[in-house]
Amino acid sequence: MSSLCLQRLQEERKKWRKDHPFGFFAKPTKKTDGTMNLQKWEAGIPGKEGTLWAEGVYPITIEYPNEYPSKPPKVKLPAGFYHPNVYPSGTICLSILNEEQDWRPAITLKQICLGIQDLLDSPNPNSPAQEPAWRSFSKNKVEYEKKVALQAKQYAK
Amino acid sequence: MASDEEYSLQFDEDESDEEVTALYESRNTSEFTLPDLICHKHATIISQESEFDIDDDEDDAIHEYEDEDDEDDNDDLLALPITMSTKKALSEGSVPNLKYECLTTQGIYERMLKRIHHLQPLFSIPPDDILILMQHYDWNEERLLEKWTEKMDDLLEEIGLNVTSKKIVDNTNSNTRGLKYRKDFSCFICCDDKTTETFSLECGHEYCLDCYRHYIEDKLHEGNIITCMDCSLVLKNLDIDQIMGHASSNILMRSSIKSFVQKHHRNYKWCPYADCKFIIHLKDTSSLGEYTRLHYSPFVKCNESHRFCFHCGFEVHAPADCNVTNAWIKKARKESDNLNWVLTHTKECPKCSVNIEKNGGCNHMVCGNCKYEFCWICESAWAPHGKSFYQCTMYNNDDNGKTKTTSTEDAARRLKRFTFYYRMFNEHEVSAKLDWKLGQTVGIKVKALQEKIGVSWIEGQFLSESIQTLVEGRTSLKWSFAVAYYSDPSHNLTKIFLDNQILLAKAVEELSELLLTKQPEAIMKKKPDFYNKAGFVENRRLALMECGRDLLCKGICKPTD
Repeated sequence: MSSLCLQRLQEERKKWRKDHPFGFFAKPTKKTDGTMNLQKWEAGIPGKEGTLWAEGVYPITIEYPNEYPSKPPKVKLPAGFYHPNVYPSGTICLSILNEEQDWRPAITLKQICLGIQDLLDSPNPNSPAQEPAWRSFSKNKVEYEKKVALQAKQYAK
Repeated sequence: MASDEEYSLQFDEDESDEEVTALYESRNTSEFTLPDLICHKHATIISQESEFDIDDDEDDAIHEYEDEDDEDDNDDLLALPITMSTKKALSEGSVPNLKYECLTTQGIYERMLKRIHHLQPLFSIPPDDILILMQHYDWNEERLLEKWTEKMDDLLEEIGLNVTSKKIVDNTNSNTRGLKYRKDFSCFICCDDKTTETFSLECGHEYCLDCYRHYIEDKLHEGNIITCMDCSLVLKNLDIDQIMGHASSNILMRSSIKSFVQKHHRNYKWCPYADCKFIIHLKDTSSLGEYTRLHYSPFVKCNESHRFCFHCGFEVHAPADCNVTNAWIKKARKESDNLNWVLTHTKECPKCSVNIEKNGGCNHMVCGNCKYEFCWICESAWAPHGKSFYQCTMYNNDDNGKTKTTSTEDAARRLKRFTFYYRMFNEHEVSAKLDWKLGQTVGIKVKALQEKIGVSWIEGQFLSESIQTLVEGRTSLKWSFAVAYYSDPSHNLTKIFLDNQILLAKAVEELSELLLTKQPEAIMKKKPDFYNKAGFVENRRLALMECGRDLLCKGICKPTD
């Protein structure tokens, strides 16, 4: 790991501990020897109040490449997650997480987490990442909402 | 290069030839091959004579042929002494209108800069900004102009050339573009507090120079527009050079041009040779279809003299066309596991069984141990090869007598047949490489000699030309085995093709043998020999290529799995 990557991640951790949005959690994972792995984080994204997603807290993993912060981290929801912009593997399709699009080295963990929370209830039908959720979202809203509510229960707090 | 007029003459001929489907004796296509047949006969008679006669002999053949064909309206073309270069142009695929240029990324970039200079009066912004716009629109001038007329100011904002009022950080102090020197600066990217130089654009997002350098370094090879580390404001080339401390924006521009070339692969092709930096640009690709139809291949040559096929990106593969080449390569890849044994570089001397490594291109081997002379390919005595024909290109179909065969026998025979052709193909590939290597060493020796006795470099040109001809001859020979493999063996034309193949193989081996002359003095003395043999190889090669194309046009050679 480059020193730049490490230094920045330590700072991200400090900042997160000092202040983070309500209902969210994020922490580095532990290596098998018990030491902290700053390059892989686990976090929880609460659904926005007043939306179908509100009931759940959705677990994500954040993996930082060695080239971070030049390159964006890879953020994943559980495989098979029901959302139009989440690939079957769980990888999230979001422009701020895409190096060719809107990723900037100055983007923080907080911004990423808030960005994902935002995406949950406002999917982008123009960049579908999976068939089932995208199809229902654009063709059959009733079914879509039913499935989302069911999923929220599954990930309930 | 020959003039266009000559090209079109040849082309028209071929067009009319399409209709004359009769026999191979139809006058036009036989332009090269019929003389060869005659020459073939002559060669038997004169094989004992000196090599100098071979060229004359061929001229005779052409005259004879003309006499036979009175109503020929192409007399001028035939009567013209067909020089090597015109011949080359005629058959190397320079069918009309293949006008191309050889460029480098730098060359393309400079051309873009010139265009920008031209366009500047249309825009009210500095050339550096137009450059960014061009980069954004993949160097597509028309699209840029269209968008520009549509929404000038919005465009500048959208791409990040102008600051949007809402994006400015409320920090009046740092809202100037450029480098600053700061005490106790806390950089948000690396999270370090230090006294350092910093950089920011008009947006006021200020970071330390080290972070910016890391960031830019990572992006230079991607060729995309580089923006501020926080917002979408663009770093111009000047900013990049200022941050990096040297002209790094050049690398970015070159990467951008590279992706431009990749995206326009229909018109632009990288030279496929290792480490070659040239790009061939074909403006008008409409004639490519015509090439395919006539079984020509659009061969192009970069400024490093690397020749390759613009269509399939492979080396010059005549007489095979792209389809045959493709099928052959696939097949060879599939079968190569079975054929690994073929690829070994050593063979045992058929007489004394000592292991022999082939370190030159010539197939005439002399065992260092027992002095036995044999042919590398068929491993039988060399004597019959030298005097009569070079039989080694012939696949002996020894199953002629049998009528009933089981399917396993059939498969075995098919594999055997392929193995034979594959082996031939490989032998000539390896030989071509060895010839090239040997040629380089000989070249150095001759050059040294020239400097010693003070003759001009032009005196030694024959050597490099001969090596070039030799390698091209071997390459054509190599690919002719792919054509032969896919051709109907019972057809008369295939037999003619195989005869032509033998002639080229013989010519090539003779030229290759000349290269084995060790002393540079002797090489200089043999200059006329080199010229004769090289001319011979070239003629044979062109004849073989025409004949191969004929097989393809008439559907006798059909690539199958």
